[in-house]
Amino acid sequence: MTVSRFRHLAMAGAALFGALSSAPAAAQGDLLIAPTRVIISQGGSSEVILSNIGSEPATYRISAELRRMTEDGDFHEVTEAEATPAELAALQMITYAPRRITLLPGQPQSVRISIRQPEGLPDGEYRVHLNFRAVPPALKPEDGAGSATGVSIKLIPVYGITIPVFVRRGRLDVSATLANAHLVKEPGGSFVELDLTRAGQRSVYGEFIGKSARGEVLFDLRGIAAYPEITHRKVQIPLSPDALAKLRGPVKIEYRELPENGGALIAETAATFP
Amino acid sequence: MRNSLRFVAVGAALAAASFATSASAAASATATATAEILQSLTLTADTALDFGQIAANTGGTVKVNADSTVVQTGAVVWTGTRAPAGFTVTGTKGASVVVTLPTVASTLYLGGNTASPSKMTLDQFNVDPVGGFQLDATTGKANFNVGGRLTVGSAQTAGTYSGTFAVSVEYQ
Repeated sequence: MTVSRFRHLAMAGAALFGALSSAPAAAQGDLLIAPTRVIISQGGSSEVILSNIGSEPATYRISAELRRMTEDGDFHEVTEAEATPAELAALQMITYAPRRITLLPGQPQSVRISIRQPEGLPDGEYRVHLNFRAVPPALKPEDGAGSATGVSIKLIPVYGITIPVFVRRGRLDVSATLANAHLVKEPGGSFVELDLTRAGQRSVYGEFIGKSARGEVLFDLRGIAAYPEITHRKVQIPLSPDALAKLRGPVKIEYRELPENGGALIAETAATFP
Repeated sequence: MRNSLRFVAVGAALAAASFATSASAAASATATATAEILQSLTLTADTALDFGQIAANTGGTVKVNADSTVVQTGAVVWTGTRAPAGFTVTGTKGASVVVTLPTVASTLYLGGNTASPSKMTLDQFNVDPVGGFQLDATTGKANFNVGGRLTVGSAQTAGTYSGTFAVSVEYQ
């Protein structure tokens, strides 16, 4: 990673020599979420398990947020002001409780997700992203009392997990095609890059499996989606040194549903590697 | 009558997480028991974002990058350990996850008091590996680091500055 911007501050006044140190905060708020994506059909409900896997009690907050997928497969946060009518409908339709939970170490609790479908809602796939994150502990009085001459900092990461929640209304079709699979070698690692094109009213989700001519599995990247807001995305499949060494000649690349969803073939392509 | 048990299938620390979601009327002679294995994802914080010991002098910036490189500007003098925040993700073997970071700066206030005029900013958050990455095909684990840039003012008032920054792991 390169740093592109330097910010020069004016040197002014007398030198103030203050020691600045950061105090590592004790890990608080480690968490487990299951399942990692939720699909609710007409009129249904679901639940997600949140568990405190840390060593301290922690309070977690759950919030519904909007995301859009980019053609690189990254996520962009979307504020309510920027939201489309369908995104706002998703926020209003998907309700969940509780929204704030205090859990002892090792203690799980389920969060119930239910759907209130408004009248006249067009068929389609509606989606929010549920974010589970620990509320940082309140500062103790001594945290604010630094030394008389020094400056210290205390940074608290507010970290969490975000999972997609889909509501599907009506009969929705989706199809996908793959193209342009090729090898990219970079200092940070090698990967197979390909283009995924999606058509239809809902998202597509699955795993990418690369097989040699003899049927040996060379790579398997799970959990790759293309959401309805994009018709095209790039997929990068990381290669282990072993997989890179074996990537020779014709390779078949399959995009399949995950085994737990039936494992059906969604799309495939072939490529020949030198 | 249908008794449904849901199990969370992840290695450590959750042997006892089972949920009975329904157990109603006993008028039926047959009972169906199903065990559903749920895909899970865990996130743990391992190390804190550490800027070491810094002498503010007339101010400047210190940027601790996610790849552990450090860039400093201005008159700030620093010593000690500087390290990005480290996290561990555990989930489905071979799965792809994405990390999202704040796009706006965090503000650190003196004494954690948001009314305080004395403050510093933390921005230019960055993550390593960049973009999406894959959980290990055997263990289902991956580590990632988060760094940022701290701006120290000239004649920064003494005391402890505290603030938060958000890190989120996203499943598709």
